[in-house]
Amino acid sequence: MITIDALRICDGERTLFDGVTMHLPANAVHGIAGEGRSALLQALYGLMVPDAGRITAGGHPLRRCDVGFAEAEPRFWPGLTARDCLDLAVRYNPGSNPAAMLRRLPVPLDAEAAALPAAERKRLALVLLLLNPKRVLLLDEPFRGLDVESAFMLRQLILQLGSEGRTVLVAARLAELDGICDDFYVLDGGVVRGRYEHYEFARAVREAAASGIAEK
Amino acid sequence: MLSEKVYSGRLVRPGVFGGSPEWTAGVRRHPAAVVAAAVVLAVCACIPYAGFPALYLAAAACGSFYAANEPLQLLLLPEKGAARLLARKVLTAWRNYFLTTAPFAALALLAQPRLAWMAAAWAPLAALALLYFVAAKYARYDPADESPRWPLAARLGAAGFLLPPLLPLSLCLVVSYLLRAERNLNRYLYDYD
Repeated sequence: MITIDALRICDGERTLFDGVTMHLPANAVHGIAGEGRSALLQALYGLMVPDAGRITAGGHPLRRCDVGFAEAEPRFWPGLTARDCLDLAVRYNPGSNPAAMLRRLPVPLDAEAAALPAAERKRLALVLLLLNPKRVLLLDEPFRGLDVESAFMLRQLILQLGSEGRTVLVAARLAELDGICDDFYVLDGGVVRGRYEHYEFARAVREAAASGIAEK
Repeated sequence: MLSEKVYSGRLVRPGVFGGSPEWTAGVRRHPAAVVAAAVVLAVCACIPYAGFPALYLAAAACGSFYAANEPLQLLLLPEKGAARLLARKVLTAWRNYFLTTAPFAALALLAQPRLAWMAAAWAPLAALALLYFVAAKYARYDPADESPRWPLAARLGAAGFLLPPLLPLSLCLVVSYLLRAERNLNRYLYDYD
């Protein structure tokens, strides 16, 4: 179980989070919608240092080596092709099988990874992440820019990962979380506006619309 | 629909360079410079007193492979702690450099056997130069900054490998940067040991 306890993060004078508390059990997919969802994943990955509060897994600090993070806008090193990125990933994880992942999320292998269109870079980043899936997976806007077929494949993959004992956190627009999450949180103004079970999606949408929560 | 553009340098594989993304990307992005360097090194190997200094200059040029910062995911890929990752980076740089230059060094030795003593100076100095560039990169590594500007001290330190009066500064900076590199990398790799 990952516990976010009274998290407070300030960026200069702006308060990103103030007292965010979440309990995220393992073996489940958790959705995060609303303003600040990407920043929350970055905080979970250790890219932001909390001013107050704790992020723990089973009572201990969450270890980065247990966490895989797919950025919203993945970046690759100029000069490396998609095949090179996969070769390097396989080199360090010899048991991984990129062919199976590439059937689901196809990527042009001999093109320069950094010069790929956004959707293909996103697919490559997801393939690289899922070659060596960690205990905790943070997916930041995983559906953004994906075509319908890839988005469908990814939804199936997320459901599969969530049922394999992992903790999967998906930060996306509320509408994209329907059907894949066991529960979801709606953030706004640096606090949790609501927590909903998967069968409460309609209520979540209604309440989000009523409170005017921006869905960028 | 997949984009069809094929990258021209794709025949250079990371496996050739011991899995080093720096060397793979560096050679890929500057193929003309690599070919020109090979021709110049071959010519210099046949000229008295030019072979080993040219090889040493090539080591300093290879330091440019370590100018850009890789994305964090690439840094985390080996899943090693800061000290072990740093050691691996340095050893890979040495491996790649000495394997690449071995034919030219052999040619220089065959063409000018009397100048074999120069190899004894070339090897440690080239290794030190590469060590400096790796340490200097990771002392200031920041995944958010793709192409960091080198501060004046780092540039003077790099110049020290070409201008002997500045060499003591370079040696001091090697030690300083190695310590800072381990501390800096620990910000990202603290969990991996």
